[in-house]
Amino acid sequence: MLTPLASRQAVAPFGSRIRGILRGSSQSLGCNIFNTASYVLRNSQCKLRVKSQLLRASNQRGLVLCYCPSEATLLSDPCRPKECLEMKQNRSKLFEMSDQGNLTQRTLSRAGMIAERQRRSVVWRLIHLLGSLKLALLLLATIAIACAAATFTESRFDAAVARAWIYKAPWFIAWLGLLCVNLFAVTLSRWPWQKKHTGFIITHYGIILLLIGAVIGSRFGFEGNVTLRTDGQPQRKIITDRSCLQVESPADSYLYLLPLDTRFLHVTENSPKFLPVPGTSLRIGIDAVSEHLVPEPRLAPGNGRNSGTVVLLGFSSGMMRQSLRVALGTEEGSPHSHEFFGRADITFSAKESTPTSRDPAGKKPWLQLLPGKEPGTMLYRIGRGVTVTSSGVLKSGEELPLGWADWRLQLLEIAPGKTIVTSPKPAQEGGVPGFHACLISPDGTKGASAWVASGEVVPLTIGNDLVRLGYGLELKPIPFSIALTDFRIPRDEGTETPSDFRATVLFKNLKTGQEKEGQIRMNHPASYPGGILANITGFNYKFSQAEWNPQDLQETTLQVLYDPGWFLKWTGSLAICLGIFMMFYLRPRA
Amino acid sequence: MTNRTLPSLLPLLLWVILLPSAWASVPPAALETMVVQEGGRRKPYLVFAEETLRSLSGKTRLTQDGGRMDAMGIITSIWMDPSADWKGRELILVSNRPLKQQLGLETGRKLFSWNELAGNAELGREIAEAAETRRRDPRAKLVGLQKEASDVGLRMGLLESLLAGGSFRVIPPLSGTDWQAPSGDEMPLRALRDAWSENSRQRFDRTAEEFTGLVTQTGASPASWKISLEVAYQKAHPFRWAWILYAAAGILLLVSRGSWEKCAYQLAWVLAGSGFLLQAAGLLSRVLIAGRPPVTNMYESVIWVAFGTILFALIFEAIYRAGTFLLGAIPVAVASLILADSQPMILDRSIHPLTPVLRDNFWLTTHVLSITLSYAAFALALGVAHVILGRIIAGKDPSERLYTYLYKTLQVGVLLLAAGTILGGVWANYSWGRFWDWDPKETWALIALIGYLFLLHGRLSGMWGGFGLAVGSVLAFMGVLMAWYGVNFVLGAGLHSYGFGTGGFPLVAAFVSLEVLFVAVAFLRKR
Repeated sequence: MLTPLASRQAVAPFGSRIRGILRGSSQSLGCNIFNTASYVLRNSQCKLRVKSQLLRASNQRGLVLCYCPSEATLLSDPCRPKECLEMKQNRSKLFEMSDQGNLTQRTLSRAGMIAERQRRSVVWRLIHLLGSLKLALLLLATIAIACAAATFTESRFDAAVARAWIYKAPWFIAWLGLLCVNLFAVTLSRWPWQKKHTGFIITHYGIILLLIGAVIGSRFGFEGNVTLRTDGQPQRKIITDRSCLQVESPADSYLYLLPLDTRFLHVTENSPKFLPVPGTSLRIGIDAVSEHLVPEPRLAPGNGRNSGTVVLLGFSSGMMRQSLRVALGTEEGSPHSHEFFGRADITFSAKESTPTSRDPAGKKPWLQLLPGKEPGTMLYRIGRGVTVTSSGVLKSGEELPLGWADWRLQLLEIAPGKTIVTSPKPAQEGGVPGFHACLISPDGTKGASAWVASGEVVPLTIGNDLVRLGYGLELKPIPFSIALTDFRIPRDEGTETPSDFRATVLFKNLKTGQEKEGQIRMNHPASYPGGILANITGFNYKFSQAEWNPQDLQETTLQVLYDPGWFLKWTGSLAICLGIFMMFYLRPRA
Repeated sequence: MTNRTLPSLLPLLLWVILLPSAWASVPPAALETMVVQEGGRRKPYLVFAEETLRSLSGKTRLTQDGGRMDAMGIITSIWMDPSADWKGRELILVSNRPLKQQLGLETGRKLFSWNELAGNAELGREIAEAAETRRRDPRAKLVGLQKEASDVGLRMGLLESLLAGGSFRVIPPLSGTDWQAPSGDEMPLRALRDAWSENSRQRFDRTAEEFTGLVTQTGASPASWKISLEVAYQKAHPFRWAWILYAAAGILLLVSRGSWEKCAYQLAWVLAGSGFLLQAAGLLSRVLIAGRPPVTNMYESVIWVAFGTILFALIFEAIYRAGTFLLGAIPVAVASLILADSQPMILDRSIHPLTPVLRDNFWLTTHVLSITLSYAAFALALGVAHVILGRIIAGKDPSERLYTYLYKTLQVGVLLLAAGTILGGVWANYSWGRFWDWDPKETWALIALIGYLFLLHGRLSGMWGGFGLAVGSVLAFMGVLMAWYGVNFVLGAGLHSYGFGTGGFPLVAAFVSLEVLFVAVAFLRKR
């Protein structure tokens, strides 16, 4: 049983308020704070609400109140209401309640010192405030909730949206920064450190190191990918995952890169987004975005040199709710054939030829077209394999059922001497992302507008000024070249399932011409320049297997990572694991 | 296969020509150990038969012609007598209720015949739609009815391929790694079918045995101890026996009172210990058969977590001799093992080859084992918290020691989860490049970790005491559940896609609601 409470005079008349409590008479204490806390309170039948962290637990018998920056309120003590009252009144003083009253001097002096320094110094008060457990709990809770929300966002939309809204959002980064401050301040608030703090400090600094490493990695490093073919050219650039707008300024013909992602651009005709053209007073106005820009062909008057015939075809299917335009030409340089969703071959030629099929089994349907004898007509033959199922003449504007599901063919235009031009148009699905933009002069007049599809360079003009715009993923040059010399895909026995991907690459230093071979297997990346020093510092390019193309086994896509923050991340990781272990299992017993 | 194996194939060819020769005594079930290549792996015929029937019908035993037949019986009958009316028999599982309603099938039935399904135009349309989705984007994930219909379509295709005989790839190749299925007039199938039609069990078994012997001589089949081990493992159901032993130990601990208590505790130790050894043996068998660590899919992780929970409980019991740990661990382990045993369609127990990214990696093994062991520790904490809250609900005051035990268990979990999550980053950094990419699986592991850190820090700050710790251990486990099950089965996004699956959501939802209810009752009683 606990000894009766005996309110004593404060040991030291500090201005701080009561903060923690603890100690059971029947326990050997000093190990776990928590197993003593509620115990004492229940046995003494006091209800004591501890509002802040316990600072110290001593191994004395009896109930000890240590003084701390926060407060504790003695709510009721059925045995000794009077003393409770006293405590309330003297809350601003340090109490020691025990039958012996011999709280260890060291405990008291440390607790007193910590309270004293907060009373005297604003800096210390700030440190204790920033390092408070309450702040830590708030940070932990919000980070957890935000992350949970982000995973649901990702499941609902996609990873990029979750990234933009939460993981890479400024407020989330700031929150993580505040967490770092909190972690640092809490280690300072324990100053001067004691032996038992080792694990605690290692863990908390480990987290800080890890986060700093992450910042360095995302600030100075980059991720990207590179697609290589065994018979292809060595690559000297990698494609990063950052999308940007490339502007060629008329002022200095320099290519400027501006970060831009159409997925997170919310513009309408009435509220366009304006971007400056560097070096000039012109602006770019973006008034629409689309995720599905599909190149749509049309026929334009030729330059006179084109003597062949071009044809513009329209395909539509009510069942698939799709329509499609295809332009073909007989002239060299224009497309002669079109693969219809990979299911059928469409060819257009000046002279009749025997039907050919790329399908070895000879079952693939095809459509063969020829310019008609009269202007505005064309001859068609529809077949499957080597058999012709129908043929005839189609006039301009006429429709024809193809016999491929409910697809119908319409001859939109057939003309000699014209050329095929394509321009991107928004569609319902497929295609590439892009935006609709025009140039705006300082006086507000607008130039001609055009769709800028990802991967293309589009010239925009206003007056005499010409600005070329390109939109797409940023290319990053690397100080060496990489070529694929061999790529193999071993399979699981008796199946077509890959069991590994083995690529052999050749790195070549662009300055010295030195070559180095690298092996990339699943889970075993190659690195350049490699070696222990480069690996430790992270000034190293790592190439790992990312994607393969089942249709083309000579091609592979490698993921590229350059991460100078890697050493800090690894050190931090190790420190966290070690620190937690020390905290839990190597703590010196009081 | 190299030239070296060619001579060893000769006896096989000779045997095929000279059969039938002398008759001898026959060991029973000689077919069980015949090697079949399927799903990227060579396995005993017994395992092949059970796995095939399970993917066809969802069970390894069916009622056919008025009697119960096991997988060996049914699959072998199909192989031996494909001309029988198999398409008219109720063999194909259609379990999804909305799909059955959509197709106009009786919702009370689970098994349907091939003919019934093939005649269903609505099913044909759904399957065609699924195929269209797949064609447009080969990486598209089928959802809802489309997925269910496509599964049914796959089962129908499986029956067709069984009837055509193409699934029974038992003849090792002369070169390469692709085993062949014998056609009807090839050995050993002709001899087996002859024996079958003559109803001569003896001749059938001998044929099978001799053929197996010859295949073994070619060196193309896995080591014979592996095949025997896999057959033994498949028959023994070690995890089923383990949970029965655990349950017995748990009941003993629960009902013993007074002077019996000490004796019962020792007996419970023996029971739980033997269950544990049995489970360890089962896991070891899987490791030896598959040649890889035992945690690669949901089924294995459920078994492993049950194993870890009992492991930690036994360690703590060895230290504290409290009984609480076993009492807390046993319900968790028993529930997990029963779940793994009873839900073969959700938790696939077959041993498959790993996707390349999971192979041959020390860090991966450490990362996965550490994370799943942390789940086990948290599951044990959940069990101990239940003991505490159960006492509170029963009106008894839990002793201070119980809170200490809970805290110790949480410590193990936090250390392992922190280490495992970080090791995952280290592994990703090493093998793919990036350290951390906010992939849902890693994010939820982080959220679960933060949940427990929140719990411990809150306790440290005095915001809650032992009771709060117990309540928190139950609630924070929901984060573990989300990281473990939810990411793969509910969210279904991200890079850890090799573990994806469907089903079981009502079960998990019921569990979560029960836990919340339990906590609420404890709260009310506490006040």
